Amino acid sequence: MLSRLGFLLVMMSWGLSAWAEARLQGQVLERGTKIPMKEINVYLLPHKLKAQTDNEGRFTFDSVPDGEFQWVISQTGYEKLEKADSTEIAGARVLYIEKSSYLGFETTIVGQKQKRDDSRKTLKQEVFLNLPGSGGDPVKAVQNLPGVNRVGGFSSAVVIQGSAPQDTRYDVDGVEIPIVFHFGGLTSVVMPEAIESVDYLSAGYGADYSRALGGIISLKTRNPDTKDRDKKGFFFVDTLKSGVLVEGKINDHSSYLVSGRYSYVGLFLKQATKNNDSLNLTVAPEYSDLTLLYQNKLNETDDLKVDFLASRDSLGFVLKEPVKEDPSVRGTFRNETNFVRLIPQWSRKIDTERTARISAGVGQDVLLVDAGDIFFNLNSKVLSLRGEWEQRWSPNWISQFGVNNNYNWAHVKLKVPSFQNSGGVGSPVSGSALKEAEVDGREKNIGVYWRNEWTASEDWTLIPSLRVDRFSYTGETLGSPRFAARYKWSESLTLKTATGIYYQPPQAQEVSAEFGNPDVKSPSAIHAMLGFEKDFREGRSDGWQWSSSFFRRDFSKLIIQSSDLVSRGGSLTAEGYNNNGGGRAQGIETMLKFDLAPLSGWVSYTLSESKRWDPKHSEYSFQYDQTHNLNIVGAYDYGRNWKFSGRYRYVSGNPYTPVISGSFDADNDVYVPTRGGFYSARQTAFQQLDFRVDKKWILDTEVWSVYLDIQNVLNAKNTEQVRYSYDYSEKENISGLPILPSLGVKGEF
Amino acid sequence: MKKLLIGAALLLSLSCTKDNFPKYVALGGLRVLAIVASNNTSPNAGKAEGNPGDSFTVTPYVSDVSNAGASLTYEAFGCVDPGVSYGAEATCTGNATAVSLGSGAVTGLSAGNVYTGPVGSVTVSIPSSILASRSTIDTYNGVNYLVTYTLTNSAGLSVKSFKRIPISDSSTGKVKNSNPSISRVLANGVILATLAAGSAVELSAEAAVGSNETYTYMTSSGATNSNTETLQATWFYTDGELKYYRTTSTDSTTYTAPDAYPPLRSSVIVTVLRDGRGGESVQSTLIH
Repeated sequence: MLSRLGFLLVMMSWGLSAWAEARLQGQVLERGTKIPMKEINVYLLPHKLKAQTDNEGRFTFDSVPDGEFQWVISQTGYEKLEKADSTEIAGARVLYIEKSSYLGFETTIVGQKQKRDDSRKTLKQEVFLNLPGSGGDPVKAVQNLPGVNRVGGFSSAVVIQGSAPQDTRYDVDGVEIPIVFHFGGLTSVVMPEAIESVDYLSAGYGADYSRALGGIISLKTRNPDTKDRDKKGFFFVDTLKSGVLVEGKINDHSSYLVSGRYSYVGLFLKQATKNNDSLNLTVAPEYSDLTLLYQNKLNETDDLKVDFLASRDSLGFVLKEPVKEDPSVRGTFRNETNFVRLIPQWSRKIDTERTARISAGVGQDVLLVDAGDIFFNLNSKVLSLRGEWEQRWSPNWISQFGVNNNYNWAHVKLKVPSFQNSGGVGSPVSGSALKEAEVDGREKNIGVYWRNEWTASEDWTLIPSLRVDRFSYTGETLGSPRFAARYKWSESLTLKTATGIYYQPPQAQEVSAEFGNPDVKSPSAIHAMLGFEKDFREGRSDGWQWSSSFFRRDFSKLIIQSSDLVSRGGSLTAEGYNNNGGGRAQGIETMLKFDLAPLSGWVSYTLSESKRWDPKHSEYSFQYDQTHNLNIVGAYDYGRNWKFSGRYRYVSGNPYTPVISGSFDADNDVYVPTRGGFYSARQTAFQQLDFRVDKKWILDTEVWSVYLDIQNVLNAKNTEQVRYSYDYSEKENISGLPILPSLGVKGEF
Repeated sequence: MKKLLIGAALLLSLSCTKDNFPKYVALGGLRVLAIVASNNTSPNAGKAEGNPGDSFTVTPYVSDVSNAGASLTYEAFGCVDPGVSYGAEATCTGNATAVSLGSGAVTGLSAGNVYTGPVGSVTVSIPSSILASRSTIDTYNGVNYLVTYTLTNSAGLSVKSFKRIPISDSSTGKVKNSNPSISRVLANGVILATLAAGSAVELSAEAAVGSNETYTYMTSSGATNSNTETLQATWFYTDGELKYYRTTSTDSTTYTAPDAYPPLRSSVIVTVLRDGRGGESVQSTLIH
């Protein structure tokens, strides 16, 4: 009996052993980013077992037969995972699946339904970060859109549809900032990866913006991304700068983002000038910036976001010998530009009909320029207020009532020359009258607007708006009616038009009693735009889109420099400035976008003219009159995380004023230029090809990226400027940047 | 504008100059090196600044080495400054106050001074009404009287130059500006004289005592400030090489004489000293 029982036990234990099963647990994460993969199927072969991951990417197999097996995960958009394993290995598993491509490149432009303003074009982060020739910069990327003129030289300013550079206003989350670029054009003052999108508003822009005859460049910071992970970040190093960004979750409803950059461009410059005993760099050029973002979803209806921006540029050098063409330019130079902004933004969705939004910008600007005997020291405190009440009166009618105010308290101590740049030709600093003063200035720009959007029928949308601005510098109260309309011709074709009046307050020096003309008023422009948007994709995700429009601007009361003597306060004095300028700009711009995976990109072309006139000069081509402006941008996703992209630009040469002779100024030891016809000569056409390669290496818990961005691959010698001999008897063309490669490395963790 | 200024300075310093552009201080073709104005009217005789109604002698310093004695003519005009410092073109043409100051053949250049030196002067009479209707700041700091001087050679080449004579209100008690004076031009600390071919020397200009005046001026906001002039010397040469084109009273420049002087003419170094307020003086030294 016992032996029979013993045999049975042996058989049972053998049977248990032969059919033993293990319990396996694990988690599926996206390779590199560690994002949990939720609700995907995990297969275990050859046992034909299947489990589905939960919201944290976790899965469990309760009974896996002992022995070797294979994990299989097949998910759309990801490389198939096939991995051998064995139940003999203990512990929970972590399975990483790799995305088919980590190199996004969309041809953007926010869809019609999302747009509040038909003049608005939006570049999202996926586009501007990878655009060849733009170095990942959002504002530089805008220069590839139609209607944006190319500015020569080293400037990166955005000139919109034949306007002047100072007619473009830049803001971050609706708050104006004093500079948008470090050192005049190297890179934007906010780290691109902290920017969600950049909006470009051109002719006919809406009533919620103003004070710019040209248009608006508006940077929108993004919310910290904590959707998939509690904390993440990256660092990068390239040939000019390095930086770091960290973002994470504070609790279930709040999060943060911190980013900062530091440039060591000065170290290279210092090395380059080491053996130059005429120039001694005392403070190597350097810049840094810091961006802090805090986001809090206070409750179901209220959202709070707070930005803190800080930027610093500094430079110092000693010129042992004066500049040969201008002897007063010598000695010790120092320049510092610092600003900070705290931007709290609050919004409340009261109900389905009403929404309130309020934001403010509080900060300080410091600008110090010391150049030998000449100095300009500005310390300014600024406050911006924006508020908007949105009310839906009916299913067809929605209104926004808003305020948009700027206050500025400035203390300025300066001794500067009345620098003359007539016709774009600078007169020597040495021969200019020096003016010295210490002034406390206060500027108040108050703006209110009322925007209405009325869906008149299934096809027609009408947008009548009114804005009223008051500018303290001129004491003017100015009404700006604006109107836009949209007609839906078909599901894929929309016609659009917009028009309005726009005013821009004069700059401080233009209305200053000491330096300008206190009688100067605000220049204005009438905008008109008529165009269409056609989507050939017909509901598909890939295909072609085409948009085109005609624009026109008529400028009035443009402020121009004047050396005339006028009677002011009973005394003859130099007029400085007046409102006697006029002008117009018009053209046709078109953009063709394509998403033909793996190829994507766009072609933009603008045919335009921009003219100016004043009492002393009959109609002439404006400095940025560019008849043809062609941009072709394309990217090819080669797979295996390789991407090749390129950009080609062709732009008509800018007009310039030739100097016909020089006159010797015996008091100042310089020659003063005698200008020929205003902008009567034209530089040769500009063309440039840029090329970029991106490669990512995806490790289990980190991603490494390397890019090579080569500007001006063909080393084209584009004339950017004309330079003259000391007496203007001889001249030479100065070319722009030669072939310029830059290499960068980025690590995401 | 402020950024433009500093950016331009940096770019100009770092950028390369075309090698075959003529050097500013190398003398060759026809040009004006300086124009010195000297007041003839008491109590400001000899000064570079004056009162309304004063008379001035204006002397151009001209160089025309390459053309070695070719005939030259001049034409001079005077007028109330149309606002050259504010961007107006430096011309009296079309100016209601314009007067002719003289014209004719240029005298004073010869092989003995390497065709480089002072030429015939013109006399300027300042209108008595020049300060009428001007602001307090203008009458204190001075309103300029413009003198234009155009040289033309026999080939038809014209060279234009101009000078401003500041005229201020005598009732303010402000001391008028004097022309600075060069007491000595030094080479390695001794008075500059002939230099051996190929030799290198440190050149410096020594100003006479009191040349760098302390002066008062009215700021744009109406306050009265004082400042002291910084004298600056410009060095011109017919042959050789120069390290720095301009020096102040505290520094020097290196001049290297040519390995071989031109056989058919002399060589000269010209020093022009300026006070930055219209005051000038010139010294020419034959070094070979």
